[in-house]
Formats: sequence, C-alpha cells, structure tokens
Amino acid sequence: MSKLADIVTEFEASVSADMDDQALKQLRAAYLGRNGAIAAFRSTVDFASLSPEERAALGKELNEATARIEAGIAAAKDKDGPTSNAPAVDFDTTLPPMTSGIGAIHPITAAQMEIEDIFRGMGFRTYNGEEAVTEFKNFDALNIPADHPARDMQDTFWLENGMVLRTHTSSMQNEAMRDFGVPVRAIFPGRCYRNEATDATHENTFYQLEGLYIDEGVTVANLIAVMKELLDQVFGRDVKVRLRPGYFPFVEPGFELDFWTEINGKWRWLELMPCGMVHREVLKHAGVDPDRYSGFAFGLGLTRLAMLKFGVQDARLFNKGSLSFARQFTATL
Amino acid sequence: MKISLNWISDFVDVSGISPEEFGDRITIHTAEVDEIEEQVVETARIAAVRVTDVTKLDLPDRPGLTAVTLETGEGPARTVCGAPNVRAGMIALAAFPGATLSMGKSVESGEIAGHPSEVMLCSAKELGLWDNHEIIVELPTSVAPGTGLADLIQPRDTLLEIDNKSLTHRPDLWGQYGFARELAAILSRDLAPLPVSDALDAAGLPQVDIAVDAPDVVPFFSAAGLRVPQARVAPLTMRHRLGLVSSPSRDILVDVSNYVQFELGQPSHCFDARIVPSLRVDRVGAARQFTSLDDETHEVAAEDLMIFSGDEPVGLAGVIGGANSRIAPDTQDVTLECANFDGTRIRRTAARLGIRTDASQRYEKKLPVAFADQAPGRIFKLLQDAVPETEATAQRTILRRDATEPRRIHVAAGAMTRRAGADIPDAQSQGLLRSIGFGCEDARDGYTVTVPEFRGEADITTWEDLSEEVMRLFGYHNITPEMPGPQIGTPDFNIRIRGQHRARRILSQSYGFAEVKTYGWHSKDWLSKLGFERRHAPLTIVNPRGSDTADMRDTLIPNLLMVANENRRQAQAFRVYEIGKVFWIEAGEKVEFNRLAGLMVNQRKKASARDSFFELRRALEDIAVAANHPGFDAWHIAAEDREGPWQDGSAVALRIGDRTIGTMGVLPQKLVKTCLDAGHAIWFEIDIDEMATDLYPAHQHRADTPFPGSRQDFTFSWPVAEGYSKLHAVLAAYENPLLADWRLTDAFHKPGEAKANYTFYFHVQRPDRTVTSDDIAEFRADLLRYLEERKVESLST
Repeated sequence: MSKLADIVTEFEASVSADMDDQALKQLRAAYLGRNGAIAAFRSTVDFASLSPEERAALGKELNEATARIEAGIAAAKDKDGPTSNAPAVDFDTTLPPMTSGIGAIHPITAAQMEIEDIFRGMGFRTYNGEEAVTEFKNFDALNIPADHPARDMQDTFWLENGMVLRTHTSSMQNEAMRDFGVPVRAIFPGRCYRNEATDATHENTFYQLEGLYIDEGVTVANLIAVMKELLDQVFGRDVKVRLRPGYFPFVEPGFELDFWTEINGKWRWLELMPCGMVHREVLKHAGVDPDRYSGFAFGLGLTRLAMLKFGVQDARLFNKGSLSFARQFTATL
Repeated sequence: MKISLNWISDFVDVSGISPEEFGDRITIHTAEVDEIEEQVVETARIAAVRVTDVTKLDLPDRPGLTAVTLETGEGPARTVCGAPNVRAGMIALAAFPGATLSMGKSVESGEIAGHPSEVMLCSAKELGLWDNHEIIVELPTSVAPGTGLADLIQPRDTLLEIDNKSLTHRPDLWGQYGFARELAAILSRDLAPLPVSDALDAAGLPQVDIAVDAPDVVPFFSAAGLRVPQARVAPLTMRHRLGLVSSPSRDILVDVSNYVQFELGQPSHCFDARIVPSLRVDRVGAARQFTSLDDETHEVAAEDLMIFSGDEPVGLAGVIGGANSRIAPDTQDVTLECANFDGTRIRRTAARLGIRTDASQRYEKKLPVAFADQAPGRIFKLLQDAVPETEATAQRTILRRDATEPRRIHVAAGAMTRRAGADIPDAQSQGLLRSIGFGCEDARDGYTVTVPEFRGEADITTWEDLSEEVMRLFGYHNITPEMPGPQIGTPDFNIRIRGQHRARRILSQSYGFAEVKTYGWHSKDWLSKLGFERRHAPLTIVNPRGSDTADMRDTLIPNLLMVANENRRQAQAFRVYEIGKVFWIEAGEKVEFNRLAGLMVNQRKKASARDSFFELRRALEDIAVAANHPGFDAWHIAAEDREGPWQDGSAVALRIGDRTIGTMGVLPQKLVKTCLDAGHAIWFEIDIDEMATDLYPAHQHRADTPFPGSRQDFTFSWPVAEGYSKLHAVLAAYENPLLADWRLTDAFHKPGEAKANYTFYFHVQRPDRTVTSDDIAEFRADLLRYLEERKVESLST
C-alpha cells in the first residue's frame, strides 16, 4: 500500500502556493481526476480478492489520501492562511446591511414611552384621550371660570360643533375620575392645541403628559416625592427640585416645579412643570367627595421635556415632518 | 411688574438682605422674580439751580436757543439752553463741569454759539431719572439752589422684575404696597400703614354729581373734587420712582394718580373739573369713535364701558382717558374719579381695541373694591405733602353696588398638617395667616379665618386657598418629600397605547421607517392639488390660524404626501409613518380615533414597486401578528368605495376576519408626479386601535402526534380580478378532520391572463394512527369536490 503514500508524497512535493488557479486545476485533475493517479492506483487493485477487513482498511486509506490532496489544493488556493480557517463564503461579510436603512421613533414618542414606563413603575395607568373635547371638559370641569381669558378666541381653537381642541391634557381629569372611580393613579399623554402665533418656543400644536393621583390623605409631600422620582429617573441622577407658588384654577394650592440643572455651563433653577393639589371644585365635578379625597395633578410638557432631553432648540421642528430631523432619533426604544 | 426696594422700604425695613436673596425669597414664597436690576443715578456735581434770567438768542440756524443766567447757591453762572420750558424763576437741575451724565457723557465748561456755557441744564433722560428729553427737569420752588441731586432722590435702587403671569390671581400684588406686605411677612418684620388723608370725606362740602347706569359691571364708583394751585411739580423722588417702574413723569396730578396706581395697585383718573364737573358711567350703547388722551382714535363698541360728562364721552372706563378732558397746565380744579370695574369687561375692551394700559392690566385681574375706596385718600395725602395748599372742594361721593361683608372661612384642626404632609401646628398656621393680614380666632374643631378686604374675591374662598397661604409662607422647601404608600395591584396596561408602541417598534426598528408628526388639520390648497375630495363632513375650526387650515384631517395620507413632497430632495428612498387622530362629523356627532399611516418612497426609476409593496405588506403582517391576529387579508376595493385619489385599482382593503382595518396600495403615477420626482411610493393607513387585543395572549399548545402525516400539494387556477383573499376565504372555510395545516406556497400569474395559478400545501394527519393511502385519497376527493362546488378550478387531481 506504500504506493498510495508515494502518490500523496509526490503530490505534496509538486503543490505550491505560487500556483495559479489554472495550474491547481490541472494538478487536481492529475491526482483526483478520472484518469488521475488515485484512479490509476484503484484500477490496479483487485478488490474482489481482498477480505472485508482489508477492503475497509484500503477504503479508509483511499479516503484519507483524497482528503489530503483536496486539502493541499485548497491550502494553495488560500494564500493567506491554513486550510482550516478558509471562509465558507465568497462575499464581504464586513459590509453593513443595506436593506432598509435605520428607522427612527419621534422624540416626543420616545419621551412619552419613557415617562409611561416610569409611571407604570409607580402604579400609574396610561389613559387615552380625545383631542376635540367639550367646553365642559376643557374648562368648566376644571374650575376655569366662564369669563377666563383662556376661553377667548385668541387662545383656544373653537370648533363649529361647539367643541374645542383641547388646550391641555388636564381635559382628561374629569373623565379619568369618572371612568376609573377613586382612588386613581393615571397619566394621560397627548397632543394639545393653542391658538397662538408660533416661534421657536411657542407652537399651536404641542404635547403634554398630565398626571393625576387621587386617594385619601394625599399630601403636598407626596406630590414632591413623585415629581422628584420622575426627574431622578429621566435625568439619571439625584435631581434637586423645588416648588414655588403658581396659579391654575384647577388646583389649590398650585405650584410651579423647578429643577436644578446646568444650562450653558451654569447651574440654575429651571421651570419645568405646573402642578398642584386638585381643586375641590374639580373633584366635585367628577363626583368625588372633596372632604374625603384629595390628590395632585401635574402637567408635564412633553414637548418641553423632549427639547431639554434631546437638545432641540425649536419647538416647531416636532410637527414639521422633516426627514433630516426625524432620522436623528434612531429607534432605540 | 417692577418693584423698587426703595419704595418698599417706605413701609418695611429691607436692610441686611442682598438683592439676590430678595429675589429668591419672593420667588419661593410669593411670585416669580424674572430679573434683578441695580439702578444707579450719577449725582456727583449735579445740583439744583435757580434760573434768574433767560434771553432769547434769535440765532437763525438754532432757533429757540437762549442765554441763561443762574443762581447756583455759590454764586451766579451762565449757560445756553434750548429747552422750551426754561424760564426765569424756575428751579432746575444743572450739571457742573466734571459731572458724568447717564449716557456716560462728561460735562465741561465751554462756549455755545459764542455764549459761555459754564454748567449744563439737564433733562430727566440726561440724568437717568425718567424718559423725557424734551424739557429740562423742573423742581418744586421749595428746593434751595445748591441742593445736591443726591439729597433729592435715592440714587441707588434695586428693581425686581416680577413675572406678571404669576400675579394673575393676586390683584393685591399689583402695587408696591402689596409686596411690602408680603416681604414683611416673609422677613417677619413690621409693615407700616399706608398714609392717607380723610380730607375728601369731610362733611359740609358739596357732593359730586355722579351716576352709574351699568351697575352690573361697575361695583364701585366714586368722585371727589379738589384744587391744586398752578405752577406745581411733584417731588423728584416720586417722579424718579415712577420713571424706574416705567411711567415717565408728567403733571403732578397725573404723577400722583400714577404713583398710587403703582403703589397700591388702584388706577384713578383726574379730569379737568372745568370740562368734567359731573360723571356718569354707562355702556357706550352704539358703536362710535373715541379719541383717547394720546390722541389716538378708537372704534368703540356698544358694550364698551364709557365715562360720560353729560352726554360727552370723557374716558374709556378702566382703560384710558379722553383727549377732550385731560389735565392742562392751567388746570387747578380737578374731578378725581376712582372706581372698580368688572375685570372681564375691561379685558375684552382693551383686547379688542389693542390698548393695554397699566390701568386695564390691573382691572383685568379683578381688583378688590377696597382699593378704590382707599386710593383717593392716599392721592390727597400725597398731593398735600407736595403742595400744602391743596384743598378738597367736593366731598367724595360713592356709588357702591354690594354691601361688603367680611369673608369668613372655617379651618378644621390639623388641616394644614394633613394637606402638607408636614407638621404645621394650628398656632403656627394662624400666625402665618395673621402676618399677611388675615384675622384668626379659635372656633369649634378648629379656627375661623377672616379674609382681609384687600384680597381678591376669587383668590380666597375655601380653606384650601388658605392652605396655600400657610404653606407658601411656611416654605414648600420645608416639606420633606414622602412617597405615597404602596398601592394594591398593578395598573392595567393600556392595550391601545401599547399596541401603538409595538407597531412603532416594528416599523422603526425592523423596516427603517421614521416616525413623523404632522398638524391635525388639512391644507385645502394641498388637498386640491392632490385632487382629494373629502367623503366626510369636516370637523371645522371656527378660528383657524390660516383660512386654508380650518378643517381637521379625516385621513393622515395627504399630510404624509406633503411630507414626502417636502423631503423628496433629502433622500431618494425613505419611509415615514405617523400615528395620530383623524376627525369628522357623522350624523351630527364628532368622530375621532387614531390611525397609523405611512409611505414607503423609492424615487429610483428602476426600483421595483412589487418588492416595496410586499415588504410593506410583510411589515403590516408583523404588526397584525404583534397584536395577536393571524394577519391581514387583502381585498380589492370597488371603485365606488375608494376614499381618495391615492386609491386606484391597486388599492386593497386590509381585513381581519370580516372587519376592514385599513387600506394600502401603490401611489398612482399622477400623484407620484405631484409629490415626488420619480419612482414609486407605497401607502397604507390602518385603524390601529381597532387591532388592540390581549397584549400577552395565551396561545394553546397543540401536542405533536407521534403518527406521521402526509404532505399533499394542489394547484388551483383562479381569476385574478377576484383577488387571492376570496380563494383564501373559500379554503379557510373548508373543514376536514384529517386536515392539520395548510398554506399558500407559490403563486404564478402570466401578465395579461385572466387567471393565476396558486399552489397550496396541505398537511394530512391523524391523531390516532398513521394516515393510509385510503385516508389521503378520501381527503383529496373531498377537498376537490368541495372546491368544485365553489367554482374553484383545480389543476391537480
């Protein structure tokens, strides 16, 4: 059987990494082809005369010899490395995918998703809301007097059917208390409208996220804690907050919530959201006993938060549908 | 509104506290301080002088220039002056050589037009006192020449600019005195009472003839008569303070009226009594013109409130006086009007006419009636202090609509602690309330609080209103945050919002879509460019931003096509979607719900619309599956049911079961031309909330049977015009216990042919034993019979 070993030795002496594909093809034919050295060797063997054990042993040797020749040719083809690391494919696997590009989620949505997650952790449900609402829901139910300037044409979009485009997500308070009953912890994200001229910080279409928490014995201390927890989560640090007096007809007392932050390299208080203890008239309008229940509400400006969080300077960009803007906010959520 | 710490210090000791600390304390306890401004008036080498002689120079190129001789207190001096009000005998302010004026200009002696100019007679603006550069400052004759400017005013002051929005509910804070009261409470210092005179209420004087013909909007109206001798000016301190808080000084009568407006917050008006001996207030009654004292003419409406003298309008109530009755330099007898008008009435008039004055701004806040009662006494006191000869000539006459009863509110024991979540004992609460003028007395189960009459009517009505007063003075920063107790149970998921978020993730993360938001209305102009006619009655805005954008959108597609149009040069291929509301009116009722719509744009001419279509179809299929549906069936839309020009023969209705959830299709070439440069766009719009189901469904596991089944392939020929989904529905309705699973594996349609071939795979299996050839034959025969009955042509046997 040393004849087979000789063939392999002879092959290994003649194969070389310098050979081009054509030469390797010819070499392969000379050894493994129909008239090659291996086939010639096989034709010299009388298999019928061999015992089964001998036949098996010879078969194994033939396979090994063939494999060594195949491997030698493959190694010569692969100029850069040993045969065992040869790639299984002949295309460039370092290319990026080019099927559909990278998608994006609107920054307002991204902010909303995050706040929803944070509040869910604190036991708040998320509630849907309508954008075209009755005057009652937007104003009366919130203790906003009939002659309040907010109801004027220059502030509110009135609809021909007598409704209004909601000017704040507070329009959901009444419905939420009626639908869920009390106690209730809920947030209502959504689009709001105000009839005003637009500039970099004013938009007639903007986004808020209202929060409402009604239970027995809810305190101002609770409100501060929940607001602080929200901001700690959003900004990923121990955020310093403060309340100061603010006036909104649907809360009493009403507050402006500021947080301590760095703006252009300088630390200062920044006004972030109005909030307050829900006014007894608002509770009464929703059929809730104000002498038994108390609670707080807050109106987080999603547009404002997205501007802060994503460094957007112009509120009008959010509704513009500009691709160059939208594509910056890759879908990481 | 600006507050001056010097002015405040007339009533409360403000020493020992930095301006920044004032700003912080007022912000956290009362109202937001926007800005702190240090004001300094240069006083060195500026002093009072008496003008002793004025000689006209009659220079042709500089008419009006005069040579002036002065008494400085240290001898005579000469100068040249062009001010129209320079006259012999007046006391003026002069800058001596070496003085620096407000704009940084330094004064030197020299010559003007050949005449010596040893000092400079100054205007208020040159000295930085108030905004007037027309005339030189005139001082009361009681001021001795040589008196330094530093002794006539308070040269240094700190102004705090308060955010007006934070004062909307606090009419008591629209004057310096209100803030003095707050600061006294915040600093725990004493508050001095506002000095007033009761001379106008003296008995024995004649009364002023007044009438209120619109009592519903005039809760309080008063007038008094007084006489101030001619040749008078207000004290320089007063005029300087007015200048600092924004009102330039004029005549003493106007100055004092303004001063009280800025000090107490109450507007008033001085009429020349020769023209206005009596007053009547009423609605205008019929639209007419009115010329205000700034000589502007306004179109006033019937409902506007006007002050008349006889039938002559002399003042637009609460807004501005009339040109016909203003104070003249020779006015001595004055009718002093001081009233309380309905805030809303004044706001509407001022807003419509576009004249927001210091007065209207205050009335809008619903001033307390008490201020109108208090102001005349303060005005008279200030006039008398400035000009001792001032006298009352007519007794103050008052027409008051309502009797005033002090408001009393009961506060339950411990209420403040329970509200705050911090320990604020009742005694401390009462102390805080007393510090800002509230009365407190113990009562059963708590205490009773009397609301002072200077607090606005709407401001304090309930114990919760009092809780704000207590807590803000206590300091919100002294309340320790405390998380609410744990609730029982987890809140429900909002399946609609979660469903929307899942759809977003699929489109944005897996299919390269960018989410956009567009306005809630349509542009009529754009709709007509698209050739879109609404099918629904629109929900329409009465007062839209533009006449083009009155109708709320009833589909998201047009706005997305506009996005595509505006972005077509940004990228050749892009994908956008929006989740937002659509609205319309149906049977008189508003319809409003969420839609998800999108566009897949490829402007490369050779790009395959087919590939795009089925990639999008795949994406929508993913959304359906994520919402726990097996997928959509696509059905042709009959021509009469198409909803917009983007729906042509390619448009399909996407159904789940027998519900149509949305539509999709290839944008017709006509619209491609309108919106894009070239290529194609695939659009879709679905009622996303209609898909909401269980977020975490419990799919039932089907155990594998150990008995092998058999795969059976069939090919059917079916009219293309009928649509695949119809064939699918026929197959879906087929029932056979041997059928374990089936699906479409191939479709072939030769363009132009009426029929297409669809190949299906059917898996035949039994739970109890291996299927036999008999089972298979039986199944095939049964299926083919079923299909034949339903006119489905099989190419398999």
